[in-house]
Amino acid sequence: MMVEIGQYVFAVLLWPGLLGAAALGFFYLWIARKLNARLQGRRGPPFFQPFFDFVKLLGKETVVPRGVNPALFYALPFIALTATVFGLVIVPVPGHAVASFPGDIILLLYLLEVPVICDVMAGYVSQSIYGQVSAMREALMGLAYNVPLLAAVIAMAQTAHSFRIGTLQSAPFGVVTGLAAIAFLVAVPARLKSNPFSIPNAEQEIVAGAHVEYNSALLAIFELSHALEVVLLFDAFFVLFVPHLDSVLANAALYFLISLGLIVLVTLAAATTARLTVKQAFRFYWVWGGLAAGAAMAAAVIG
Amino acid sequence: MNIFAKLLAVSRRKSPWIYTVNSGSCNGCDIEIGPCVSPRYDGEQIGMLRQGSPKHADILLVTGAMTKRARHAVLEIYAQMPSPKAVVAIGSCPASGNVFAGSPTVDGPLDTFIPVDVWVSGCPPRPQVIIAGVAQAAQLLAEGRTADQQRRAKP
Amino acid sequence: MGIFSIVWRNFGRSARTRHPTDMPPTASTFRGLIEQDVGLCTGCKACATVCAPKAISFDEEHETGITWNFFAGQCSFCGLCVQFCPTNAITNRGKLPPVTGDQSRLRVVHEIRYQPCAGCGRPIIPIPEAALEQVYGTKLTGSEAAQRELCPECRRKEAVRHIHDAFLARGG
Repeated sequence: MMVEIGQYVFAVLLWPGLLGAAALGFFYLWIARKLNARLQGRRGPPFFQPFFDFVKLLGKETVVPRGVNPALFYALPFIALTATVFGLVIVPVPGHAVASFPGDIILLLYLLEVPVICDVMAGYVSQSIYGQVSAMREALMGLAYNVPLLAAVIAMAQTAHSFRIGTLQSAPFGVVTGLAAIAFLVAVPARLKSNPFSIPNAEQEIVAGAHVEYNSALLAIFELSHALEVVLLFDAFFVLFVPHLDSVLANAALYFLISLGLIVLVTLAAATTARLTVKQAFRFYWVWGGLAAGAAMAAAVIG
Repeated sequence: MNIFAKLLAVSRRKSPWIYTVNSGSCNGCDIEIGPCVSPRYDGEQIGMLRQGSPKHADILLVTGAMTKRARHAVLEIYAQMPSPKAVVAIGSCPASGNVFAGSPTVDGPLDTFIPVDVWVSGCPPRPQVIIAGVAQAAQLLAEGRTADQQRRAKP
Repeated sequence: MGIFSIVWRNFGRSARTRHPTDMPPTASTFRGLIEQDVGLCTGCKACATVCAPKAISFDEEHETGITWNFFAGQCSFCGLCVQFCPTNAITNRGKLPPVTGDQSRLRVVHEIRYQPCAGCGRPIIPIPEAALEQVYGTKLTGSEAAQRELCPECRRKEAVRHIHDAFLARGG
């Protein structure tokens, strides 16, 4: 019993939870910024830059705008962080000790939605016109990119006849896996709010988006939860769509390789594309994302 | 200093997030601030990011002589920045008004309104000199020597 | 697809970024911070007259001399003072204007001392020797050099005496 509690505490705080994923998340953020800079012909920030940004924000005073509900203002970043951390705990990446339980993929999907809801609420709570426009855009984008995202997961669950991540992880690699992976990947840039789907935090249009009135430690927590969200999405991709190898070391190596490949892919897309409008993004996700989703579901039903 | 204070000081020096405001400039200095994020001079090397919201920024870059029309905006923006904060006056207009000094629409030098930590002289100053000014302000933030930090430290 | 070739080329090369301390060289015509050689100044105030933002001013309230005051925080780096100074006392050789936390470092005060006129004793600012060298191309000697230390009145009297001596000494 104590061993189990100890295992859970380790999983929440160290790996794959808060500290381990934070380190990995900051590493991915640095890769994204550095690669983006190099592709633009610049030198880019030094290695520990996301960490220094985080610590600096912690040291600033917190300013709550007048008329904003302070309880909600303070709570939202922590809710987003908590949901992301618990999402990380239930995904069985290499080095993970917590057992899988039936229905945990559903829990994961719900936990993945909480940071989005927190961002939307942060935009409305801010009492700022920029925040409200960003919140509206984020909610609309949720309607768009969830089509391929959910369809990919459902197709995989249908093929494995189970909603248990452990079963999905050890399911054999097939046509469905490939199609579902493509559908999932199509949704990832929008989830990460990176070009061409950086519509909710369009700097030139709506200043800083939903976080326009956020500052200091609260902004730092939001940035941290964004970094953890990146890790969580890549973890989910690895667990669901990449075949599980027998050797622990090989599995771990494959995990890092796949994650690095994903961040490079997302950054490449961000550096070479321009932001789309909400209407264009919608059309893209309902047409092409819908096609990918339909193909994955069809393969799952037929196969 | 203990380890956390030292880490915080290093982080403040390495992460200068700027917000620019034009208080009546001819735009020459604003045009020179633009290349600070271009590939040639790349302020991101020192962690400099240009933020859209004053609440996200540490360092305020002010260009232009303080015109009557912009006075309220500049004071508002300065008040909305969370501490610790630094102010960098770009060019000679904030220092004296340059050719606009004595004009009925110009209020006066910047330091009669908000405390200024670094003066970057030039008309306009070159982008790399502006980055040097931002780096100097970041160093002041790390050492706790900005006017805002000294005012707060006084009992 | 143009963007892909651009990012591919950028990725292949090293970044064309300059390190913050690697200042780009200034052109030979760059108008930088002005420097005044007070040994060449005659106090004619041409620089203060042409200065557009009134960054250069002269203070004539002192008894020992006049001061040349320059505030770099008001300068617009137009170079008119360099162009109009008759003795080339002011130069702007490409020195970058400073970045400082202390505004007093942007102010320069040079004193040009009065000297008593060798004839009547009034306080004057004599034409600097170096300025005369610039004009004549050689160091002046003898009575010509002595005229440098006279005020305009005494110099006029000296010139009249010179002409008088020249005509009357010959004529007779």
